[in-house]
Amino acid sequence: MHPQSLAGLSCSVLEQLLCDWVHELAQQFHRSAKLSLQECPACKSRCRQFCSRSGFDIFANSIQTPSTVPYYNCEGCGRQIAASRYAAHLEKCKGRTHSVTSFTEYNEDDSEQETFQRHKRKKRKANTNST
Amino acid sequence: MSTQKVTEQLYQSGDFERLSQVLEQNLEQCGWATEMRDYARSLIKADNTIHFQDLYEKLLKAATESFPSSLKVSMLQEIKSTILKMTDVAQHQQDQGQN
Repeated sequence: MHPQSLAGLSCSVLEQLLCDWVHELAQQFHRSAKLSLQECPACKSRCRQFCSRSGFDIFANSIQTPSTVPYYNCEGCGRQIAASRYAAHLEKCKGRTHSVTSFTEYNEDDSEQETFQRHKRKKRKANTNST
Repeated sequence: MSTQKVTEQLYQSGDFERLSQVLEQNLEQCGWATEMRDYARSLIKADNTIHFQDLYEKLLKAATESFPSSLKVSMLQEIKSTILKMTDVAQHQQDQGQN
């Protein structure tokens, strides 16, 4: 076979292969584009239409980034706290909330606490004296 | 030997399918296939109601212009060797038939 004709044949075969590949690619994307415009017969909605706006996922739900995370007011201190940090903040927000976390905080009246401590010491002393 | 005849013989022998798979594999490996898919996606995004023929022509033009040259050389080599093997086999069969 003549080298020039072999080169020419190879080029035309490669061209044919490339055309087939591009044709398949175009079919795939054109089909998905057309289907996204049509209403789904099962759910009667455009479920094949995907959102491509920035800041949203393909189902049009907002993507939470550090700049888009919601903020809530702390009921105790009134500060604006990010939703992801709210639980941790509430744990540390002591004495300024209505919720009770420990026995020491429960007795807010100091005189009562002192009486209790004095009573404990007296009891301990009495026990040591008796032995 | 005409191009059409060669292509027909390649189809019949199954070599065309094999070459197509080799091409697809190489295109995926070098990342060019991903670039073409992104380009197709951008064309669809620009005009969701684009006609198939327009889309195909734009993609083919971009593919022809940006086809990797190294891959072109390797594919041409592969195709040449396949055609030569095919013609050798055909020649051998013809000789056997004459004898």
